[in-house]
Amino acid sequence: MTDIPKIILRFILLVILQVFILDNIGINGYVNPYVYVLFILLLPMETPNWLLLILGFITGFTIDVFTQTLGMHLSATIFLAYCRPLALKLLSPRGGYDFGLNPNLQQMGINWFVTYAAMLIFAHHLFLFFVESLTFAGFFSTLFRSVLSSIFSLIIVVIFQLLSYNNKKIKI
Amino acid sequence: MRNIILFIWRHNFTFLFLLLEILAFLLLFQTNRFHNASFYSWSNDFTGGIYQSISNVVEYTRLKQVNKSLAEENALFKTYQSSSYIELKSPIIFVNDTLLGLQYRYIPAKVIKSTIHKTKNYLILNQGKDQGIEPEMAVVCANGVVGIVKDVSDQFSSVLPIIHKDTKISGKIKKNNYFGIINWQGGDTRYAKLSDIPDHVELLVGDTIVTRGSSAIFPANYPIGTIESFKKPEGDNFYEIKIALFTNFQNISHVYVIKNEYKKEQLELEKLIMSNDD
Repeated sequence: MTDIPKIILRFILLVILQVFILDNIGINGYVNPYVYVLFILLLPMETPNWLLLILGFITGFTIDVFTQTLGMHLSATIFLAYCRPLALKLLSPRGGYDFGLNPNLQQMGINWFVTYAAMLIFAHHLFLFFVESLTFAGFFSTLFRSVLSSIFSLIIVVIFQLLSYNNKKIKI
Repeated sequence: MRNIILFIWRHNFTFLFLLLEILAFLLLFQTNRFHNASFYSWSNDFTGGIYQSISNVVEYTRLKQVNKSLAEENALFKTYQSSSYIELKSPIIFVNDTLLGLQYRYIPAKVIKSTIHKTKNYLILNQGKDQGIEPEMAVVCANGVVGIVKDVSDQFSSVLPIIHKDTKISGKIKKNNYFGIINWQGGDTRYAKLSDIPDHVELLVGDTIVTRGSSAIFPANYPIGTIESFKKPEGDNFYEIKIALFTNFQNISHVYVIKNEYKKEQLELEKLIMSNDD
């Protein structure tokens, strides 16, 4: 319960970062990082599934209001929220997760976190870029864009995680 | 019945997901098909204020460039003012306002937000309904064509630039007046595509492309870009032409919105033709 103010603060910071800084970054119209997905990735393990979807809805809607693309980030972020429990299940250690863990780099280690983030970020970006183009006409160009952008987003997400914790505490 | 409810309850996560996803796609398609003016007007007012204050800060970093382009434009205007001309013979000058009517009124505006990395890019301007801006007006900058106004709120307006994959602008080759459609399909924002030019037309790299001015939005002969390269696809009677745009969308900041005072008259006449066809 004590985490709630922290989560709200993280939401505001990530939206500001996304809308005012990252939306202005890009290379030749191909790469466009979407780091706001980190908000969904870092929600506590015990978050109920229905709440995940609702929070995905709120996050996507907020980004859509700022970027004037009603429905685009909304659908992609809901999809991301839907995929998260599946990814957690896939990556669960033998005997399941300990109670009270957060899926972040500090508590889960760098290998686990990078695998987890890469899977979900790619799912989100692929969905987003196909919804954006609303066609399978330029299939490989869209695929290329999502792969490149995913790599870029993943790098930023990992750097963020490394910066927000004391390095000595991370288990490798 | 009880089994169905149990089934839905057991899979409530998937059902909630599908429900929200359907809602999201409804919103997406609704805003694509119709101009959802009320939402965009609201979101323009809400986010426009925030973007305006950010833009006030960012603008300082661009002052040098902006000054340079304004100075260039000023120099051009100074060239055209009457004191720059020498009288070759002493003429008799008639001033008669009933002969000339102002058709295109230029409203200056500043870009407070623009995107270039999407396939559906857009701009937000700091002028809106209160300054006389309406949807479907032309937007240009000192170098060339920018786009068309999409939605307006009281203080802000959104623009679909050439670099939006649904924008189609009618353009022509300046030297021989053959016209085609200019469209952009994603990728590099410095280049767009000109289609519908038949393959018997003689083209050269570097030919200027200007607006055709047929749709009562853009004035005719406003510069768009130059031909970068062209090729003739096999089995097709039309060229595939790549044009380099004059407008640099990477640092666009001062633009003009053009109001066509005679637009209504032209559109009414066109409507008459349409209704005669039926």
